[in-house]
Amino acid sequence: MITLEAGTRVGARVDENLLEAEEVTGPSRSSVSGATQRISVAAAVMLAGSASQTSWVNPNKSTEYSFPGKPVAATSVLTPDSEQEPRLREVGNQGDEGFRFGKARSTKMKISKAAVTDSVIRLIRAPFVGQLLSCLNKIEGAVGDPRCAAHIDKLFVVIQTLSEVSPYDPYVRVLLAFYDSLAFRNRWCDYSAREYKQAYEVLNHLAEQPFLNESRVGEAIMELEKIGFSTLPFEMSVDADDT
Amino acid sequence: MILGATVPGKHFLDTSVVRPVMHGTTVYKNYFQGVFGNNSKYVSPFVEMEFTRSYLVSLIDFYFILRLPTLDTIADAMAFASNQYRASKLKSALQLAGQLFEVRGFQFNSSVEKPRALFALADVIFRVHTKFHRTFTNTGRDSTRCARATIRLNIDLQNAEAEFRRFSELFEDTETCRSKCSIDRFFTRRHKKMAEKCVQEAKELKSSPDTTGFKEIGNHLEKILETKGKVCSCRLCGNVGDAVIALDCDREMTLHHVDKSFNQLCAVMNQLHSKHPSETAVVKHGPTEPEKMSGE
Repeated sequence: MITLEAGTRVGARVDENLLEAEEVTGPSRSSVSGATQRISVAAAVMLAGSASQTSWVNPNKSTEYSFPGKPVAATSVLTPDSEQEPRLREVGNQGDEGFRFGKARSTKMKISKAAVTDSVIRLIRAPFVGQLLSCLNKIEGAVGDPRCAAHIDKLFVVIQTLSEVSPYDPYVRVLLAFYDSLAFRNRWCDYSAREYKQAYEVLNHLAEQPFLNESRVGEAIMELEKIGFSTLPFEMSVDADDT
Repeated sequence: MILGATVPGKHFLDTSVVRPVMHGTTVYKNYFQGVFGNNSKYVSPFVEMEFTRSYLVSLIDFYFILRLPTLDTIADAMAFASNQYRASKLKSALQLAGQLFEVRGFQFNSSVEKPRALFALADVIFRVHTKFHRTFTNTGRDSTRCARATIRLNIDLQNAEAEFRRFSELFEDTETCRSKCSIDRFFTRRHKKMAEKCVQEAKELKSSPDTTGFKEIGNHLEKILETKGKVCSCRLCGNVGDAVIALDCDREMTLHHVDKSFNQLCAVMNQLHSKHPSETAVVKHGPTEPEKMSGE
């Protein structure tokens, strides 16, 4: 089982010719629910169609990035597409340049890097989204009550932790916009239960969507704006600029 | 007109209105929300360029200051930026960054926080860009063919530094941009009569705080007309930006502005316009009814 602790930063990026997973460990800044947040990444890889995958190879740098854990007999390795190769490629092929471990499987699967990355990102995100929505539910029921602060605090911790664990998740961009609208001058206490409910719906709907692109992120931010959450709450004097 | 009621018709916004709509105080934002309601707010590519030049570029400039390896902490970067450069140059960027880092709970004196601050700043720069494009409707009309207005910022958080560098280099290459635009022909051919009329009006007007802006524009326009546009540069274009916006505005739209120079410009051009109170006036004295005028 591959585990990531809160405070561990995983950036899974897909470039034109490169699939790369980088792992940067650092001190945990916060914990969720007072306990270490553990996430199964193995499930993500399985979901992507390459069961027991333990290593992602970056041939450009001739290095391997391995997650800690017992390497199970790997059957396929994700490799970057060359410029001539199509986006979808076969894995498990004996002649595959990136093939490193074990024997090739007889079954051939077609997967795309984007699908793998999206699946991993969504699996990392999933437990956080669950907590986030749970917090929003509780906040909705506690608006105007001092106990609301406890749920808001938890919400902030969840957002901050996810933004550290998976900073390039497009969903995080929406969450940080939501965070800014709440945290700025403690405006969280100005919003109504109805507004929190609508924010819940926006964030829940967004979390369910695969392949979040810039357009969807922008739409979600503007939906929050329409509800009343000011995602750019920072105030500047208008005579400050040099025109 | 009932105060706070939505003003009917098509609204074309000058940069002096775009900026507070994007990041003014809550009171001022609410004032404009009352004026525009849910109606479309139109801007031109030139207005977008002005917003980018005055605001987005200074945020990007501060991003690179914060990135400097010689500045260990957020506090160092902010102190350097405010001491090294003219107060107005990075003031808005420093204001935003200060509020952003405070909201995110960053420690200003910790070197560990700098990468997090850079990430947060890049995210907000992209958010400003996204929000601008989703808040305003671009008319696409730009008779000056401003090359700076065509430079697009691509949202790519993973490669923010490279993208900001590319954008900044293209945007600051004013010589190339000027060589591509037709601001000289805009004043000396397309709108020559109007420009001459503005110059004439500016000369005849008595100097007062209400006419200073217009008279300065008149002086610059006179230089442009005298030299047949040879003195035109991106800097000079910035000085006559209000004239460009007023001349290029669709006559069926209402031009919304805060700057006083538009009162005279729109009168000369017979442009329907609406002068809004300044942010200070709204915050101190409460919202007042905008002055709606129909040119002469």
